[in-house]
Amino acid sequence: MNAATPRNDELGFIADYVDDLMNRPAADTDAAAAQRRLLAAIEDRRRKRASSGAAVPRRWAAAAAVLGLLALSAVPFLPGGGGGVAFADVQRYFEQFETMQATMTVETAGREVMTMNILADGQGRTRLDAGELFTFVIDPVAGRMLQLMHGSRTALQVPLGPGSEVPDEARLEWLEDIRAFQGEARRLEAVRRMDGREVRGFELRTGGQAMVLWATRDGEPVRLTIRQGDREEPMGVTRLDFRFDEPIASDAFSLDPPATYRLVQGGPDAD
Amino acid sequence: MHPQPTPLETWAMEPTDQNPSVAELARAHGRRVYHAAYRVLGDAALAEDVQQNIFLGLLEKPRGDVQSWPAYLAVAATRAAVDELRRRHRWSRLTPAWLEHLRDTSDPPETLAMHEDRALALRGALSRIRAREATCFALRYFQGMELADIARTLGLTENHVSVTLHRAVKSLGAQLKDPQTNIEETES
Repeated sequence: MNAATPRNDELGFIADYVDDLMNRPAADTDAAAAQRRLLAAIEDRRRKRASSGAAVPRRWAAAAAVLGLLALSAVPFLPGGGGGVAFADVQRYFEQFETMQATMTVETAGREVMTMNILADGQGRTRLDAGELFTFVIDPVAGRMLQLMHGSRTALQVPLGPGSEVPDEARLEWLEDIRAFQGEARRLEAVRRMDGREVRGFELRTGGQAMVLWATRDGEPVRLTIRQGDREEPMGVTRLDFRFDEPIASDAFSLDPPATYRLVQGGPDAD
Repeated sequence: MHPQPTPLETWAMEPTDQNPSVAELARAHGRRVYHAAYRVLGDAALAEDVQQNIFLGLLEKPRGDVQSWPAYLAVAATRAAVDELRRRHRWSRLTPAWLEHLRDTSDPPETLAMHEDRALALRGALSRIRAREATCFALRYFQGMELADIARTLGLTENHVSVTLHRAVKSLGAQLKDPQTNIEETES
């Protein structure tokens, strides 16, 4: 491949970057091992199909095909078949909740570097509380966002719309990703107890992160654990502990700054 | 509902005069797909995920309209790898941006050295530009494909590919040049 790479005159200084990247190819041993596992996986899939097809009488095959179509969306989430919770049930919780509360804990190099409480409701409103640092309230229905910086006791009200800067952490993109997750969710064999409840884990393979979502027998998500960085050298672990549809304070999504906070223009940093 | 496999499903499992089986394709092109994905991702495990997804995906959704399997697979691997790269970047946002500096200060020296690596910087920049630009760039400069082949396989005109590549180089240049400029300004 290297020989076929066009000479990079049109790349300017980026050519050096491309050369560095191309000069660090995958290890042959890794490529060979991946190739072996690929061929084994294809053969395994072929055998399973062949054996299931041969054993099914023709009249049942048609019915099975119809049922298969109906169950198509659930198939990737039921490895090994059998009963128990399906990942689709777990996903449903993230789609249909009235309120979701999550405590997010981030650990780096074995030490806890932050804890943040997340509150969301079915209308898309979100509240983030990062201890003594800040509180964000985002209300897409009202089209406004409130930012409270607790250190300086300042408040900022921002209209939501094109061009408005919603902080990355306030967008809850991970929630959208779980709702839309179409990849492989492998159910783990291990059973654990969390908060006195029996939970099963689903390993989600997406985005290079090793994520495990733990849920009760009826599909209620309890904990999501995400290992950041490379599998070999994880940079940290993020854990979210969930609670669904519990009562919340009536003013949890209030966009009015507390009386003791000073409203500033142009953002808290401008103060 | 017809209980028998469709011709395409049959093709996926068994070779015909016109088409190889997926197993034959994997034997012939599996490593190339792996390497194509690795160049974009720089991660053996992720490259293997892409490789498996592509060939096992062909078992589930057979393709009977492929003119050139090497080109098709190179594009499929690159596209999937770029998607993975972008998704990876997206998931990293789960950790608030203001925490990143805390991480940087606690990184061991070898990790800091890795952050300075240009290959890593290029992959990072690729994850931030438009997906189509990143795909065209990787196909052209990582996989060494000709403009005409990229255009044919992506269903674009050569001119469109050329413009997209030009934009990709410009976007990557901006992404990669800024940190360098800042360092020079700080040092002077």
